[in-house]
Amino acid sequence: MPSKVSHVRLPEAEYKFIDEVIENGYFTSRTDFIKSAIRLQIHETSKRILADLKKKRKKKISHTQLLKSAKKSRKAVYKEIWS
Amino acid sequence: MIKAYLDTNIFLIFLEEEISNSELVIEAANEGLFIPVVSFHTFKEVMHNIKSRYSKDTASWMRTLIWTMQGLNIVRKEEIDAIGDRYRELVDDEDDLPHINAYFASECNYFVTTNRRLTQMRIKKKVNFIFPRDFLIELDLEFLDKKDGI
Repeated sequence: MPSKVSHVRLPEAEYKFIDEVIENGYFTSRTDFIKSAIRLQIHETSKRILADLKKKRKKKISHTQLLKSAKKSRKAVYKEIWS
Repeated sequence: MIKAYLDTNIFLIFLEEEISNSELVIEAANEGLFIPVVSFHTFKEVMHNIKSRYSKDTASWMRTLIWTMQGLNIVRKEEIDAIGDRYRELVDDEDDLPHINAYFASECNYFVTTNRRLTQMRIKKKVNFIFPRDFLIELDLEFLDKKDGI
């Protein structure tokens, strides 16, 4: 996947914290820490957006209906890829 | 660490139910309590299903949620191909086979699903199928008392 370089200015205390957790073996580098933090933020934001969508939804389907619908998608995807 | 293949229905239930054991399983993965595994099929099926019932945007948010799960392993087409028809006779529907192959290709310990039909196929002797509720019990986590363990 192509990537881009970004320069981020952080407060001294946060920098110190990052270096400490690296020293304690929780992350391998500052890049590792920052990438992981961004991934987590994207995950949590998409979860919040999906939670809002769930609230606005008018009607939900039963588990049996959901499995039938999932099977339909499985068949369609299989056909598209393997046939 | 435990490696678990997450079936497509886990993500669909996450979206369908206000709160579910499937959602708790996704949370557990994100806390690094096990290694989540999906295949490229999972992404395609989730996108296909959510687009047909909701919208393209909703499907995209769900895709984002999946690919940002901590430590996610994605099984590629070549890895599924490599196993071929080895387990075909033990699986009733050929469209379930790519997921079974992905489970073996990634050497998972569990196959988390809510699909009872799948868990009753002959392949059950070789695949460690588990419902979300039972998987949470296995991880020693709290679970919800929901019908079908979803």
